[in-house]
Amino acid sequence: MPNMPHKLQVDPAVSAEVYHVRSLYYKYKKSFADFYKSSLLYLAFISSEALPQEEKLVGALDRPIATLCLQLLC
Amino acid sequence: MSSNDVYLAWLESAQSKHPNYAGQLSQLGEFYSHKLWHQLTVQVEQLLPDSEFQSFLIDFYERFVTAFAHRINLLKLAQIAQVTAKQYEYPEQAVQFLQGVKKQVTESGQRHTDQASLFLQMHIAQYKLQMGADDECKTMIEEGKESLDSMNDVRR
Repeated sequence: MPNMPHKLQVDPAVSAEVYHVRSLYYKYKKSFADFYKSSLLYLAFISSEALPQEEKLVGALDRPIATLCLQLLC
Repeated sequence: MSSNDVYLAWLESAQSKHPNYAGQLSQLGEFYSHKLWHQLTVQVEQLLPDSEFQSFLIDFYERFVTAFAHRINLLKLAQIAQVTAKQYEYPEQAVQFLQGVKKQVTESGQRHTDQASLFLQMHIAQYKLQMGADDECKTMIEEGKESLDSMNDVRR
């Protein structure tokens, strides 16, 4: 892979926030499939960074609920 | 350490008001005087999680960080600002504050401002949602996703 100039890489903290606010929006709108997808992407980007304990717990609780709703919707 | 610099003067007053942080604040003053922006950033980041430090973080940002906001890593500035925003009581205040920081970012004169700008905008969107302005939030998240996609596209 060619050497990519550092300045062009998108910092994962930025991508994480894009998906974080999306997940909060979908949770608010009760769009469970979109909530689940955006939550997964948020977690993927944040995984290399420190996540506050509280958010980890809330995230862990919401995903099983979203999965259940997804199953019910299909 | 008397000084003509208003920022150093504020730091001195903060040292008396917050004796637990006198040493660190003095150190920050030294870094600032010597234009050691990276060391300054690192020290501020270390102080950030302290709840006692957070109790005067808004003042600290407005009366000190503002002095060198345009000189430091803008994404780190945005992250410092994000923690500062949380100290405001009302989401409307946090939004106004973050919009001010966005302006500091775009007017910094640095070449790469769009990542920090996007980061701040996404936090503003979160506050909008908290305020019940979900349509505004929706517009912001759509624009945010477009911005992110175009930032990633440049690299192909």
